[in-house]
Amino acid sequence: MKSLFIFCLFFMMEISFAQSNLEKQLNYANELFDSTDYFDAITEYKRLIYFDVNKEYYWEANYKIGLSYKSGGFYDNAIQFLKISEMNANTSDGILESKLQIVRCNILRRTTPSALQILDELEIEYPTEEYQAEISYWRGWAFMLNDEWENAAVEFGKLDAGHELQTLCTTVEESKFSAIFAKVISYLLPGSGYFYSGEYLPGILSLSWNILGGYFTVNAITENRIFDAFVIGELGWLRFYRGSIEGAEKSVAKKNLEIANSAYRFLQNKYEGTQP
Amino acid sequence: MTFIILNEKIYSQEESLLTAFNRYKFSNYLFQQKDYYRANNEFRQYLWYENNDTVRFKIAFGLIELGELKQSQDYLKSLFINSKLSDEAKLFFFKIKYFENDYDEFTALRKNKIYFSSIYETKINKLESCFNLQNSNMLIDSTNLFAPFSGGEYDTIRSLYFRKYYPERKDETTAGIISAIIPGAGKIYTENYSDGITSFLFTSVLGFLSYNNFKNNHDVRGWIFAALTGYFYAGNIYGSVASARIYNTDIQVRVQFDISEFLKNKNYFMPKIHGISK
Repeated sequence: MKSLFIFCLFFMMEISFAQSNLEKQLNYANELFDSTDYFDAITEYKRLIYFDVNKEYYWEANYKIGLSYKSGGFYDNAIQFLKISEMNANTSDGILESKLQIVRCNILRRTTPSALQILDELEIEYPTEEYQAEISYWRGWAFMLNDEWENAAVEFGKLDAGHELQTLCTTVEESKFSAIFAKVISYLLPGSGYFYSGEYLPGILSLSWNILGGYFTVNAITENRIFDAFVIGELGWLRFYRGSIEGAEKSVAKKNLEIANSAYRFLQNKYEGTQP
Repeated sequence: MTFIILNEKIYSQEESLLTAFNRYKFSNYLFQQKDYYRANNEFRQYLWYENNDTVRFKIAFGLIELGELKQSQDYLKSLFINSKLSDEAKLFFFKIKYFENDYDEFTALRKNKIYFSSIYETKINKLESCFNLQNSNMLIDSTNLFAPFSGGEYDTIRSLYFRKYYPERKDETTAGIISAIIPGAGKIYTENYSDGITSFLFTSVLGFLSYNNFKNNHDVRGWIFAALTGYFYAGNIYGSVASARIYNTDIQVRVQFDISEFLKNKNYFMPKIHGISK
């Protein structure tokens, strides 16, 4: 009877202490993670994974490795481990957390189509209102970092009317210049696209070159020098004409980039909500 | 008594993840995952408990993969004497000399049989031949160069040798002369077809414009186009000579690249070592 008791005690201890070791390992790795010592945290989580034969801590360890890599900017590695964590999640919330982190990594590494695809899948898998709000929030971020401010404003509008990010996206969208409009007015009056984007000196220069080229071409036609007109028109005037259209488009793109960058700076430095 | 045993049990269990054996298992796992940096940290910790040649070799291997060649040499040197991996370590030492692009030291070590492995002599000679072919700009003795190779390897190294020393070059003078006769022809000769056609059309059109203006008594414009024609004609000759030079340089670049690829495909003639390299 006494021997049986000791045997049982040993058996129980074998299980409980093994368990205790893994828990201690997890706590140690978490401490490193919390103190932002991500390199060592990854090592300790990997150690935990290696010894966790029952895969009890697989989700948490892989998830935290993913987060550590993400914090270091290694998004490919982060996604690799987050996917493993997703496959080993025991609860639907665990799957959601892993998937949302994958979305956030995709947003950060600018693989927006992948982020949107996962969000579309999540929208079907998690139809409740609480989850839908989070999905819309990250879809908004995906659009925002992909320079689709109008779509982003729509997504943030789903959270609540007048959401801080919706206001930001609407402001950016309204401040942006239209590249198509700049091109169309440049077709009608060379240089006007530059004026539209606020680049006055290039606008005046472009207009002057076009007037000069046009004058020489028309002059050659009136003097019946058709071949000369063709050469001057093609090599001179048309070059400046096309240049004014392409230049206006580039000028608008540059201005729009400045506007978007200013919004990104605000998001990075002043926005207090959750960021990818 | 039971209390003592249980106490011992508790103590041993608490340390179990960091025992020497567990560290060894875990570092091997990291090594297989190609996480060499972490694996090496763990291997180094393991060496505090137990000296192990395989572990030293794995550290050296990981350091080579991480590009830490100097440190790797130190670990390999520690295996040169009284180690079962002595020959492999010496062979890998020569591989490092290749990576360091230190041909003189490579040759000196091989000739003087320093850190030399007679078991892997052929492999070292093969690596030296490729190294020599890559490095030397002077014509080298092909008999010695081809000697370590046989079969498909022999055919490849022979082909690379002839491509390097007897390449089908494009003559710069010929390119210039034929471009002077027909604008753009030199560039077509150097297989730069699009530039050749563009050059021909551009020079011809400008020449015609000059002729047409002179014919219609527009002398000023005639001279302007004549000057432009002359400028583009001269540029086309110079461009053809340059194109031939670029073509010839490209041949060398392509051969060097192919030698590197050959070595990479052959894994630098390194042997398969169980549990270390595949």
